[in-house]
Amino acid sequence: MNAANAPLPGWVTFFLMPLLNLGTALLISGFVIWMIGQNPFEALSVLLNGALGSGMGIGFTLFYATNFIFTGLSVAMAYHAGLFNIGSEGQAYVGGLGCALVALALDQYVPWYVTMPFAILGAAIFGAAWAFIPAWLQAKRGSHIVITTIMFNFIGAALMVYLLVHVLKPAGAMSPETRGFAAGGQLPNLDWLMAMFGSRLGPAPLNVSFIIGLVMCFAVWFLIWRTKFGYSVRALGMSKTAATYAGIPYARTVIITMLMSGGLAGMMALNVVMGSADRLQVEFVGGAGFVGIAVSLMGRNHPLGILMAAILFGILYQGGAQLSFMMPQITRDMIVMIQGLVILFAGALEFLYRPALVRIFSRRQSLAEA
Amino acid sequence: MGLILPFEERENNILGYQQLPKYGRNGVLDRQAILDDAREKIEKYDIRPPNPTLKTANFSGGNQQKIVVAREIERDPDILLVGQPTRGVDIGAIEFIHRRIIDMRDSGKAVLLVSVELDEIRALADRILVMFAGENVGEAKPDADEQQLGLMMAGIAS
Amino acid sequence: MHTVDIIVGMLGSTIRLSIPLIFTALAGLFSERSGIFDIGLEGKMLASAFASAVVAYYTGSPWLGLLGGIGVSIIFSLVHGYASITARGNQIVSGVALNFVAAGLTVVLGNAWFRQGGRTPQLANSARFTEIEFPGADAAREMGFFGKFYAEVISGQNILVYLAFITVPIVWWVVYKTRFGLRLRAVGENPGAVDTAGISVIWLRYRAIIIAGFLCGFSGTYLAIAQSASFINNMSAGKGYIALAALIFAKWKPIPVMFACLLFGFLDAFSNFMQGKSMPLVGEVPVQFFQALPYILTCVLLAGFIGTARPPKAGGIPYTKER
Repeated sequence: MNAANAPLPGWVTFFLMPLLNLGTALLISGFVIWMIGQNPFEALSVLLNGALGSGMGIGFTLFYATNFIFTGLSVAMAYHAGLFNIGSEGQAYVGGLGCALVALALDQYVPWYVTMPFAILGAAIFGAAWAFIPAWLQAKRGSHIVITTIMFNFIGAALMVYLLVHVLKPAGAMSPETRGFAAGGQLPNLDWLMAMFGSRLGPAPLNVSFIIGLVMCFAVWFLIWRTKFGYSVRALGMSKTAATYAGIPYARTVIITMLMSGGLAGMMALNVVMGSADRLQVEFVGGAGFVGIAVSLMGRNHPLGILMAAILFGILYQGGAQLSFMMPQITRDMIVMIQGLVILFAGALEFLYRPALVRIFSRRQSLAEA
Repeated sequence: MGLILPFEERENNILGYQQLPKYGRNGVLDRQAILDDAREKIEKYDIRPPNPTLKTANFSGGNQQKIVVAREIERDPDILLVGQPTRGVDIGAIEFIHRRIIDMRDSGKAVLLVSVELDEIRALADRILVMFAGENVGEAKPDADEQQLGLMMAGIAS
Repeated sequence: MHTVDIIVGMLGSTIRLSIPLIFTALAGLFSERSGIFDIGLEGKMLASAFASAVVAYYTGSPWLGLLGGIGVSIIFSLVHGYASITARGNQIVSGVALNFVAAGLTVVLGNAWFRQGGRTPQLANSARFTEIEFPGADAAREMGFFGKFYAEVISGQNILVYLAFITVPIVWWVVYKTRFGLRLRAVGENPGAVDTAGISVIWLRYRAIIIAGFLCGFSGTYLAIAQSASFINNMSAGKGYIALAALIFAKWKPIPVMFACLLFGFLDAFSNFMQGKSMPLVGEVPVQFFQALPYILTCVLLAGFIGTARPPKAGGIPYTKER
């Protein structure tokens, strides 16, 4: 057996390898920080402290993590069917429209818990709708889904800007955004969650969406590993020919999976649009869809892994914001770069250390056997 | 190939039959039933190692073949269409698979065996149809002269 | 304004807006034809724009700036190559990652070196690629449509514009008329066959990737030190993706790539021109529609409604030598 597919203990694949990859990305980031004349260790401590050092920091971290949970699940869902959905960004963006329309329609008449189920549906349906055309093109016309979903990110962005500037913007307003939602369109913060740990959330926008995200983690896990549909999806993802043999309908499975993937991405909008900004704004997704790709890969497409990877990226986001505040030399762009490096090493170069680890562990195994 | 190598043995054990109610109702998989079913076939067909949660890729070629044969024969179909059922399979397993195919015949099922192994065909078949260049060139008895069969296979005799 | 002025002006800006697309799409052509998806075109463009601006600022030479742009672009290419060829990682993820790295790193370094919020200092004209005036252009300007066309479209462009149009036939020649081109096309369709013929798939793909980096260096340089006079945050602004769309729209063929880029460049120029104006019959068309049009056209093409676009068969799949 060669090094490429020699088995490794589970904890090495799921914990040690991602950790080593992350470490490499941080090492290089540290080098860049040192290059521009700053102290990387100080930066790291500011970052961690900003993200985890206070109730407010944790609140922000989990708020960002919520975005990545949804987009990560979205990417993973499609991935299990062998589809690479890099359109989560656009699907989340358009999902925001569905969410906002519900909120705009209901916010003045009903309390938030009545609005929320409809908003979830609205966001999911709009997100799914935006995934439908690429899914249909892949299933029926054989168009490469990677390419069509990229195209749809841009088409979606143009559409949303048009709607916000020409249709949804209240008359007389300057910035391209909808009016602010009344209380019925605002999701409550999770102050009580922080209070349980004897801390305070402060102004952090951590809201009910986080709990919905956790529920969706469980739902996706159950769907993929415990249902017949999930079985079909995984079979299709691993071997198209075997799936055909097993009577799994290709087009239908692809389209349904992509609708679910788009729906999950769309639900991300809930967290930002109704949970924090309380209005629909231009570019509110801010790259979370792309981070979802990394989150999904790093989490090995498993909801538990996705949850952990999402929190990690949440730490990077929040810690990075704090970093740019405390050490002005390190701007927010540094976080964009670190993010890129983490995606590179944890995603594209995920097996960088595999051959070395295989050597170490197979030697150890043969020693143990001898 | 009727197998998905990254799947666990028990998952391949229901491939193609995943929608049957005995493997779960309302779209949810009945994991206990699937596991029991896999154990049963592993024992009956002597699939090694006898581990239904092992990844299929980690079974030997012969045992992978046995997983497929077990799944399809235990379905008790009325017609069995098998192509090269023993390719890459070890001697002991070949014998076992052959016996199962004969059992199927004995219980009155129609078996259509396609193979390039002349010995296998002569051992199993009741009637042999010889193909050449995409056409049926003739029929022979399993005890027919090997040279005669060979000529038919070359398209010379009929 | 006269109609002639409008048409000539539009053609001129179409050309200017197409140039970065042409270089980038041709870069993508080499990469994708060899079987390596390149979402990272955008990042390479941005990184090379930054590098060329910085080098041109310190040396005062646009040519050294170009060299710097190409060098950095090739480095990005090699990282992408290492991830997708040697480490057999996911090519899409690697491309996405490099786009993030480029977007972040350029501003971080720019800010640290020049303290202008990520911008690089304004370049003197001597450190830029400036317009080249052809003989007789001034006189021709007054001589009707063709004269004006000569003066403002053919003449008066910078050297990189002419280079772009020279590059197109060269790329065509390399892809279709050389042994390397034949192998390049083969390796994107069936790397196994190329390997069997005793040609190194890995080295072939690395060469394709390096050429992609080389060409992307021109497009970034064009943005920073020909079209403008400094690097600005995120100045590629999605042009890498438009170029990718053009590449697909042109079905991965060099000459059609040029026309697709000109078409998309024209759409860009047209939408700039139409901003705030209304068209007969339809009224004011939102600028966003023109921005989305290249992508919509590409999707329609991919759907097989206007011909078929089939990507190289081995695209996106890391090559593993059989043992």
